[in-house]
Amino acid sequence: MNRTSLVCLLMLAVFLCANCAKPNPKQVVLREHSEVLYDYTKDACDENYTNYCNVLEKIITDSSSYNILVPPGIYAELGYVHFKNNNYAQAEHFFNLEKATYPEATVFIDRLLNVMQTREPDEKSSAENPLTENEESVNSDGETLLVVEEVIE
Amino acid sequence: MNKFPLIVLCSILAMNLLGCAPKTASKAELYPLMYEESPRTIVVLPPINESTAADAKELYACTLQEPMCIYGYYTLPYTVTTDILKMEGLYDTEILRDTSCAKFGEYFGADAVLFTTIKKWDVSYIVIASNLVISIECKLVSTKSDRTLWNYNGTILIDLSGGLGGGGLIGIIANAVATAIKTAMAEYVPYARQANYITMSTLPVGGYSERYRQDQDDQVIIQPVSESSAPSLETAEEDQAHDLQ
Repeated sequence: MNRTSLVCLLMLAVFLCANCAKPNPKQVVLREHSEVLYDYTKDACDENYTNYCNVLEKIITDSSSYNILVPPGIYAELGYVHFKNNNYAQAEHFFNLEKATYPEATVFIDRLLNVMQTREPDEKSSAENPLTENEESVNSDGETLLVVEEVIE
Repeated sequence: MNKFPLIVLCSILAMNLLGCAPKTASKAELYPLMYEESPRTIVVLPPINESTAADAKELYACTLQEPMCIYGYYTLPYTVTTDILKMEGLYDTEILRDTSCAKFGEYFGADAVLFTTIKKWDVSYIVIASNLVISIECKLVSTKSDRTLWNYNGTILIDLSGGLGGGGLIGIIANAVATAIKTAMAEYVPYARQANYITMSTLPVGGYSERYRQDQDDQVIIQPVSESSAPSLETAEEDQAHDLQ
């Protein structure tokens, strides 16, 4: 075998190996999601909250870089984080993005939007955590309790 | 290109050569209802944790979204759905099992509900190494027909000391120390995710996968039936995980 053939063979082998090792772009963009979600679920402290938000935003920008759809649920998660922090305009923006990207999420997102839109303006400014932790907001949120009860019956 | 069929083929070939040919069946044979109903949207309910590991539930649930996405499913965000369920005190109970799946369809717009029971989540030590042993039972139930579309009942063994081989005696000591640290710090998220990839690889792929409706002939290895009644399944990827140890 002459040298040229050998070089071609090696290049082919390198190319094939490189191709085999090529990661799935969805896996790449989601690579940090499980860790930050777990940390935030275990302890919703400021640091974990910030990391969680940063990773969700990074997933969105990375998805754009890879020219792929933002993975299912990411817009909704980010919207929900804003919802919990009373940033309703941002929450609605991301909820609508989730619905536009994944029409099968329509029922779920419409429920969340409905809960958000039926909240009284003064509650919007005072409630700290609309669905958890804040007992007062939960008790005053008749719509939230109502829709959840439907699941349980 | 998805390497799954190739991995399955290699695994079956290797096991045949070793004289322990596994019993296999195609996904279409095992899960015909998955192809009939073709669920796209899945709501993941909080797992029931019957293991002794307190964190197993969160570890398992928080690492499920990525594999479900890779296998082509729309999974409703776990944090949001569980927050809603927590409000009603359903996070730690088995009441969820008795709730009609149609209700989850109505409320969440899901086509199917994923139920998971973590039977075992143990770390076993062997002097210089440790393994994570996870036994789980999962089933996917249709919100439209209430039928079980897919189920998995198996034990997954994951090496916690991988990637630290070599180096003679110093390497062995370093390996032992690293294993102990890893176990102590409970850095199990990547391993939980690996376990979920293994489990979900037996699931026929969903509508967002390039192989949607092309995996009917993919072979799934059937484990010997254990003490529990449901059939146990594993895929070649699980064997791959064993081989990596």
